[in-house]
Amino acid sequence: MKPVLLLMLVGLGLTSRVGGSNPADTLLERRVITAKMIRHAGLTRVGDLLLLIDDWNINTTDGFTWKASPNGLSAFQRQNWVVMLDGQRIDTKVFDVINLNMAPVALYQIDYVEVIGLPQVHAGEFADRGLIHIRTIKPKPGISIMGDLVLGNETGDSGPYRFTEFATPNVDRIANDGYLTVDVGARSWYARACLLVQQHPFTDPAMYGRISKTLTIYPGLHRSIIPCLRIGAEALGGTHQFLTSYPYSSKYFLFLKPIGREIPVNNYLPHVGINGSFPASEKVDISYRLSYAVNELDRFPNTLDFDFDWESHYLNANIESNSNSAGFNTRFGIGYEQRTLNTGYALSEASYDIGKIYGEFTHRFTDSIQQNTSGMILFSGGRTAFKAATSNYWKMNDQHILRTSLSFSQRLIEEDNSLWYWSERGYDMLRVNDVDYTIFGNINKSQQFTGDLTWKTTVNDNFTIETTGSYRLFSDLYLERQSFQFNPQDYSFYSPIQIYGGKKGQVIGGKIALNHRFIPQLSHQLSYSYWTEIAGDDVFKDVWASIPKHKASYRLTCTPVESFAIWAMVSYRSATSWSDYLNVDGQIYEVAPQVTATYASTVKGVAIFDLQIQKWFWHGRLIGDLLFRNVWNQDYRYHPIGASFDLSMFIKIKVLLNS
Amino acid sequence: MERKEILIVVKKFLLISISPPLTVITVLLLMVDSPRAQNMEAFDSLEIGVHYVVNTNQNVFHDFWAPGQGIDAFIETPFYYGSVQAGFQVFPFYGQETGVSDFQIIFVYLKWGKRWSLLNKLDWFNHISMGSNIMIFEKGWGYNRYENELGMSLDSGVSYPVYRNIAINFSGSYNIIFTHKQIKLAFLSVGMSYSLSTPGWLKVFLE
Repeated sequence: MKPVLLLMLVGLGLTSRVGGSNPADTLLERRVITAKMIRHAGLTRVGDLLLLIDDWNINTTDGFTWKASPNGLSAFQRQNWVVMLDGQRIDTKVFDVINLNMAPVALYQIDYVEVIGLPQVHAGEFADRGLIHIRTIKPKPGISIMGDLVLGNETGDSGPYRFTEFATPNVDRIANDGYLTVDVGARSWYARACLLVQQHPFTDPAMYGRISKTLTIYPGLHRSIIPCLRIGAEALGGTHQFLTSYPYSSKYFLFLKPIGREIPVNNYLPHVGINGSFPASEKVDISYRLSYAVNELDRFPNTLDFDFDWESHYLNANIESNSNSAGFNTRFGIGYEQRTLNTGYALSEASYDIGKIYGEFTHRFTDSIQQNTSGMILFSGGRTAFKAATSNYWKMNDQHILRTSLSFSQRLIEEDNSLWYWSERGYDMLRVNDVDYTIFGNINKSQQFTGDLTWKTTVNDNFTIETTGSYRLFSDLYLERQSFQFNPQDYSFYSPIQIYGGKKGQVIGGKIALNHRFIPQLSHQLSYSYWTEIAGDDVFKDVWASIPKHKASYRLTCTPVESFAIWAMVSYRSATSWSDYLNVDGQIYEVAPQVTATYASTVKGVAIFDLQIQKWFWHGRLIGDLLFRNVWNQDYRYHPIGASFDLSMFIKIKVLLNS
Repeated sequence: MERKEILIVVKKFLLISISPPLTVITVLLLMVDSPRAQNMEAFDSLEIGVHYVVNTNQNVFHDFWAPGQGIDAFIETPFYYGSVQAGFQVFPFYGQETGVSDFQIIFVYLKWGKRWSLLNKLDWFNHISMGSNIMIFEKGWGYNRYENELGMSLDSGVSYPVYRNIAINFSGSYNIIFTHKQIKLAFLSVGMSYSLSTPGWLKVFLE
């Protein structure tokens, strides 16, 4: 740890020579996805936001639920990035799966999204594994009604050939989503009621066989319904917000990697929370957050008789003070988390508590140099974890900006809320379902050190170049390893599981992003990122081999007039290797005489072209989008046994009526 | 990035750029504006037309189905660049083997294209369109009677005004339906269209 502290002090020393004057959001490394970017880009669901984050790698088996590797802070194992909505933490994670689509928000409500890919304190959380904070538009005075309908169709149906020897299985619609919100706003308060309905088929040939074997009925469609209510008010000189929602997912196929297949469940995710801020004195504001959420996996009738028997209760609270004085901003806070598991399994401990103390200090040394240092200490069950980060911002001149970020953080096993944590405490779901697992070594708190150096050049008003070099050092990670075999009887995959504690390794990465505007109506962005492991044993390297080394995207946005836009994106991911699936290489599942799914441990690299055309009508009250995904109709997938995504067309219609 | 992967990406770009139909349509659509097009403001006018349509090509698809005769109805208006058209084409196909169902395709589409003035009021137009092919089968039941698939078409034709705002049109089109086994159809069409100024309320809506 000493070299780490030394490096952090070097970072502090670097900044103390100069000073800064830019707003804090330029000091701290964070990406912002604006409503305009969301509007123009080809997004259909909240989970699609991940498609717009260039420095996060993503992965999916079904096209509905995504895994992320946030800026090299973790691989696809250990999904510990945090989701926040308007200041409240949203808990949609279960068994290493975070389902962003279950967040109670519609795409068109979003004002902007903060994407945090470097460790730092944010809204009472230490984002050591990444954080996405969705901020919604505050309802305007009066009454507004907004509706959104999304219809998606993937190509590849049999069509009339169903009556011939060329018959192939039907391809289901890939979206049948609808959103409705009613806003009521007054001078000092507002209310928003919303209802989101989403429908997704889990019938891609690659998964159709194993899914249909778990059901006595046609796999068909998964549906989710998300009602929510948000009320905000100005009082005590500040703002306060209440949010409640009851997301419900019926026949959701949860891909549980340890058992190598999807299990149908009914998932309930009720949430209730309040947060706000008010001035305590002329220079001090108080912010508070309190939320309570349940994550329940209910049994959906299935031939495996699989029942998760899982009901997790999560309480999150924190309060912090924020004081400003000339050149200084100081924040201190305390927080508390409690998670309780209700299950029929006999648990040695059914709950855990985490206490937090944190602080953040931002200093503007001069007009061109700023520094931010933050730290957090966590307590749980007599153990502590220390987390700290420092960022420095140096505006060398009008053209060049240099940012450095260093962090060191420990992470308690409780923070992960992982299947292995609960399995060790008696949640015996795996063994009851004949899945063997062995833990080698100890699963202790892990350590992580990160270092990032970013150089931003403003060539002129229309052209910027940003380059970043990154380093990550991990130790005491616990990682899973499996060796799946294909079972031709029910088209599933099975393997015992080994969990290795005490794993360490190092990762480096580089990014370059070019942002250029030809004219106000025509802009384009090019980004490229590279990640590779440079040290670690085979387990560590195998886990990181599932992350594409190369990722690139090119986006073009053309808005010749205010009411018409064309957006195009070419994105590229390099090939990935999944060692857990080496034994299924070349296995073929014949869905129908003309259609087979071939499984492989290597997911090939692919370039995809997406195109969206958007037209506003009736002064913006009616918006129509026509979106084409995978225009080149490439055979591409993200996961060795996951769905492939053919050319698809989406029609989106939005209606906005206000008083 | 491995060399092989780079080559695949480059090859894909080249395929797109040298694909003959796409190259032809791209060149045609990006040619300089005709005087008529330059004088038009977006949504200034409407052109409403109906065409009689016949299928002219032969391929594996036609081993199973014989084409009937169809109609195409559309409404077109000048856009910020070129023009846009919304319409639908209804076309029946008749099964040629036992067990092969008759069916109709309703192609609901959006087109974008450009037109140029040639000789003596004769206009030449080209369009690219995308849309949904709704297939309605004689056999089957419930939802099973319907199928929906993405389609794309390119068309080229001429238009000649015969009386005041009425024009006679003749065009050919090439359609691809993206079923698992793609359906490729060529059509010839002839018909009439009527031009009028866009009503104020509709122009406000479209803008």
